[in-house]
Amino acid sequence: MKSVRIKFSKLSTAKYISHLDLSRCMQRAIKRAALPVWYTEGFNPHMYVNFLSPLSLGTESLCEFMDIRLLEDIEPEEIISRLSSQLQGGLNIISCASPMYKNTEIESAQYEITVKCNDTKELAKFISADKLEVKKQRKKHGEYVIDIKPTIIIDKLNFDENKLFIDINLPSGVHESINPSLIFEAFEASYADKNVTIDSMQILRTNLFCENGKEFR
Amino acid sequence: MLQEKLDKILLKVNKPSRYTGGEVNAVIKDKSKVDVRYAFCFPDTYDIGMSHLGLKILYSLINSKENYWCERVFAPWIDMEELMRKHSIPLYGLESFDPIIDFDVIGFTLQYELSYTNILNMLDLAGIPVYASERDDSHPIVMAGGPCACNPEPITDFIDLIVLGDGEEVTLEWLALYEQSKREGWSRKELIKRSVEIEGIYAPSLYDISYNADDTVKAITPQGDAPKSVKKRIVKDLDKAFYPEKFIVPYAQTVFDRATVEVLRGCIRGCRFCQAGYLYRPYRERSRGNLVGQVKSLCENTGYEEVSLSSLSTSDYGEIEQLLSELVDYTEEERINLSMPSMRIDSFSKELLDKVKSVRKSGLTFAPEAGSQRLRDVINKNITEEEILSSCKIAFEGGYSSVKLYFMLGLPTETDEDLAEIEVLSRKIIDLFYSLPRRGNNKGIQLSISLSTFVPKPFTPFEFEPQDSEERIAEKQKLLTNLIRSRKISLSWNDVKTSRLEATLARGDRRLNKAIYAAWKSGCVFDSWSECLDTNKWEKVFKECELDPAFYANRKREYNEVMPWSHLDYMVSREFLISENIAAYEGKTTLNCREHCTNCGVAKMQGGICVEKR
Repeated sequence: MKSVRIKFSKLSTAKYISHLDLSRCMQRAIKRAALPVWYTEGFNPHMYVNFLSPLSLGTESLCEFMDIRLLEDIEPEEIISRLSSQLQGGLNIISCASPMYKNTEIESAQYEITVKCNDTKELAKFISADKLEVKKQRKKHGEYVIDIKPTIIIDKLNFDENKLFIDINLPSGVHESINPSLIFEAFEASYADKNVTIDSMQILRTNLFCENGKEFR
Repeated sequence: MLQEKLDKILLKVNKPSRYTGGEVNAVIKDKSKVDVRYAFCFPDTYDIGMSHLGLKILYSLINSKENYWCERVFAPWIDMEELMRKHSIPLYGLESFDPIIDFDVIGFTLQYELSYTNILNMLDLAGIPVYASERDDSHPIVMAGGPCACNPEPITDFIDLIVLGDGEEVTLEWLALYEQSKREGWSRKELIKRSVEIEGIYAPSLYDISYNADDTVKAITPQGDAPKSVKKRIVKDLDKAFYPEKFIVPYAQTVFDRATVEVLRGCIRGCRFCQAGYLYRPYRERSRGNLVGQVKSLCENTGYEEVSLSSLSTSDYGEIEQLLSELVDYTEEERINLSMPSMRIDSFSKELLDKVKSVRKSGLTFAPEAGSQRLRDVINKNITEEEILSSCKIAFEGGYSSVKLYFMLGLPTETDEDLAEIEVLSRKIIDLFYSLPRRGNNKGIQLSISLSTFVPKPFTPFEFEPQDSEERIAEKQKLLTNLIRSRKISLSWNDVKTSRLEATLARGDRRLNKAIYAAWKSGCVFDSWSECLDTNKWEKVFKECELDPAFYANRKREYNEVMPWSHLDYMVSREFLISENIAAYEGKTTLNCREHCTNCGVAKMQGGICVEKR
């Protein structure tokens, strides 16, 4: 039995597929592709498909991962081609290989975000400031405010009159995780009385990284 | 651009993937190469409508023609509708995202009466005049079909053409006529007039209704060449009928999300309350080989993890055990769950149970419908208490500890003694469970009893009967709550006000059109959803329209009354329904179609079990 990690993209209207729906969708695609996958044993056997690092609804991604176990040895190219032919509409298989790192080793995620806003200058100022406070929810402790500036890396930031573009690295691991939308929620909240609004936002997760800075795979 | 507008609002609504299409097996065509664009509209949400087998059949059927393109349209949920109206997004087809007002044909399926206000709402969202009389040659033709087409009178102001019976053949026949009308430039009026030359097509605008002083129907008069009565269509040979090889696989969670094969159409039993059993006569089976092939091709093309053998009474299928044997071999190997809903208590056997062992032991459901043998005889549900108990015994010995029983309240001739029998039967089932050797687990029995309110329906022997009043039903529910005390039994019932509205619309006449319009205008939508149904609004609407729901729901009809659906012919004769009604009151049962032909009238169609050796 061989563990296989499949990397795929989730773009365009596929961004509206929820995590649970995606799981069902992939299981059915795997079945249609007739890939000999392992099923769990026990009272309620089901196809073993493990999705790593769940994505928020509405976010696009170039780095989605799912782990399966194959009962037979099949060439990665064949897996990719058989599975690709069963997928459509924004879901595309990028690569297929043996898993390198453990799921728990994922530490951060890289995002490219395009925001349409009526005051991009203020938004840029807000993001580049020394302190960047966002509100987070925790099950037991309720809402709390945290300064995420020390934990984020802004790789690129540019803007014009209507649009702001940012390429940003945010913590995204088992210990700490920041959803990019929190930044913009905080912005809108602090500028609520100043008639500054965000018209639309496109978030694309481009990569996942491990503790050692290596690309996750 | 529509995509941009949608991107702005989709993250603000619940389950956005219901509105984005792009599913596997959805059919996309080049609209410049298509002659007829058809919008199949299911008047409820995506999650409900995607389970509808009729949609799947007609969608594939129409799309199998190269120059026709059928797209799906569902009712947007309330949050989405609000945003669509706010941003001027008209109702669109899920495949092309084009507004359906630009299509050639709009087809609604009439699945249940409480979906009627949704039909008006969807037309309005599309920008199409809700009243048929206000549509001109630039608007699509609005059609409807499905079970409620047997009495569509309450919505005849809103629909241009109605299809009675099986849709597989008549749909393509009509679309060919439509193509001709487009080529030759007929007017809308001309098309409607010519459409009724096709058997099974009813154009309500070609009939005038007159009423007696007591508000009953006096006469239904056809205009010009319109037929005096419209006969339903049937597909005689189900094996030759079209059936899809692929189903669209939804992303979003929908009800009954599985591969479905239609094992048979119609029913032999003749239970006197059941409209479907009469509407879909004669009983016709699909051959075993065909069914196994369909299961395999559907599973291969969809990747579904469950397949369902669907029909009104699947265990009546002649070769049921052979069919199950063949299927179980395939489904067990492919790790697919085999589901068999609608099992009759009297055909339940250990052999059957063994075959569907792969079904998760979530529980079994039976429908005795009435607590006493006397009342079961009245409704012709030919099941004895012995059969109920022996089926439960087989189920319990097979490891099932959860049983659900369906009953109805308000059946004709029902007495409190009949209701008390429900409790007696429940106790016997529980005692039976505990009398059997326990199979190692410590699970106790879970007996669920579901009580629904009887709704008299057209084309049944009970179409003459009044529905029990709301007060009487409430009393009966209370009676049973007091009788059934055991903690091992959970009692549930459906809302009686919902059933009352259903009963009002089911046997309604054309005067209800204005009530449905007024109800929609006052904000009634998704009436079949308990969180949306506003019976106060409906009550107000009936008062303002000077209509009395009791006239439709709670009135006993004479055998010679002209029913609002008298001009629609489902081949089961009036005489037969009357004789069955008399037999009901005498407590006499009628044999099923397999045992003996009882001359209901459907044999005239020369199809199915009517022409088989018995």
